[in-house]
Amino acid sequence: MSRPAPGRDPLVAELERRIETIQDLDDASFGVFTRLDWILCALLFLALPHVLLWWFS
Amino acid sequence: MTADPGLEGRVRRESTFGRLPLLPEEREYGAWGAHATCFSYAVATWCFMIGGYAAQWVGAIQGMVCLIAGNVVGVFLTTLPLSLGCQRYGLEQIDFCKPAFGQRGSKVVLVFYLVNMLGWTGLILVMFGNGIRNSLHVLGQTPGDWIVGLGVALGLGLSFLVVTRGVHLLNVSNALIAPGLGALTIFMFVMLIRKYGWQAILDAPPLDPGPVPILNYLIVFELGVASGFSWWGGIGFLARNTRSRRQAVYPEILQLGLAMAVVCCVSLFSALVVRTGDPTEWMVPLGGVTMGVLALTFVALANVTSSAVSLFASGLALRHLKRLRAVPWWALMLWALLPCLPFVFWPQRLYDLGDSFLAYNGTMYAPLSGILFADFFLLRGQRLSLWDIFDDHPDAAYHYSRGFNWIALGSVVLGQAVYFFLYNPLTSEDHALFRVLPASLASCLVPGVVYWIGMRGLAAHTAPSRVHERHLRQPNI
Repeated sequence: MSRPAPGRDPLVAELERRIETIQDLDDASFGVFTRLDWILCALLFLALPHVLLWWFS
Repeated sequence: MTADPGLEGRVRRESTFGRLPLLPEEREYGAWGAHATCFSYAVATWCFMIGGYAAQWVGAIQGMVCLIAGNVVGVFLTTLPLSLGCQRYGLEQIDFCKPAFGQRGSKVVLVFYLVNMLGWTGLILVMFGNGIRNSLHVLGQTPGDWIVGLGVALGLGLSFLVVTRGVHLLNVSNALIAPGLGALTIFMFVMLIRKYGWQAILDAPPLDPGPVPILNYLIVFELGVASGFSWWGGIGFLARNTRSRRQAVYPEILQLGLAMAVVCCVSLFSALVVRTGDPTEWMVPLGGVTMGVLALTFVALANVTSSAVSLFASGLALRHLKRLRAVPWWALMLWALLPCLPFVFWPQRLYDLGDSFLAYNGTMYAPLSGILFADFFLLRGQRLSLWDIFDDHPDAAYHYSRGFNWIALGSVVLGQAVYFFLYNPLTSEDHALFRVLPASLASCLVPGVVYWIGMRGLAAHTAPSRVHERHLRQPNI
């Protein structure tokens, strides 16, 4: 946490520091969610439940 | 680091329990941590209520399919934009809504959120009051129905004590209650099989079904989806605390969607064979007097913890309102308790409206999820400007028209209209299309598409306003 400029709310200064850090970080720093994840999720958590719903109706 | 310990404490509080974006190194949950935390949120007393409501309409197999499929779909639809967005930018969910809804428009979403949280608090505390009444019945006392309202008042007082004594007490209670409820669910299932048998569960008819079986089935699916959507308020908080995208998405869907649905199913079976939707009436028939009263006492404690979690989340959300930012925590909690007071005076009437309340969650969060999906993935390509989210200046990109994005708000209203057109949860009237198109899916898709088309004409608002300026003109923290 850097020392804020005089008269500036230290919480706002901290917020600006965090925004700068997060905004500048590479996407890869936050892990991946690939096309395969999307397909898996769409099939397992959206399509399959609807197929089950229709099957047991 | 600064040498000012007061400031450090304030920053820590604001990042963990407030609105400061969380840096990657501050995030607590790896894969197991995320699964464990999501599980402890998922296994709560509201699962018992949802199973009880489902038993009114359908039998065991159809109920199981609807609750599992519905919950998973609901959590899936709500979790993808929220999890991936809140995780990437360390944001909590109301701030995440600002690019779509505008600085002030996001406060409208805050109202939905508060109604959801405080509604659950009230319903859970009625269950607490019912538990007290039924425990007294078992002990040979016959108090009037006033005891339930008194129980709600007592529950509110206890929840107030828990949330004002601090997060530590809440975390300790949660750490004990969630595994205890998991064990109670297993105990209930074992007792169900031993005392009644699987065949009796399969053969048990629904408690109070409507005249059209397919409609009953679809209504319970909608209840399942709506209970999945009910997690909207917790998803951002969990996701921003995870270290990777996959750790944000999979534990939420598997625990909040699937694990919760499994617990709901056990409560559905209990309701079907004991022949009542009130969870506090299952324990004695299933476990006998001693175990039943012990279980009832435990469920009562669990109700207080669940309602304290909801109150705590509501308190954090209220911090978004400028006037309430500096109010002491205990006073803020009193503000949060006020809307729960009707549950003290009309507990049973409001409890009976619980399935309509669940459906309300669907009508609110389905459009919201569709709009956030279109906004985050299709319009912005997963790129947000934190500078504009935390800046109330009229020139900031997410200010729109006086702080409101009317396209997003109009799309929410349209989504609700679509839901009510297909199925009205208050009157149980339906349109023929409802039999082939789930209301929640339609009310998620239609507003998402309309919002996407509308916003394509406002391309200026989908790009960050100021790439080079590195300060906030009107910080909103």
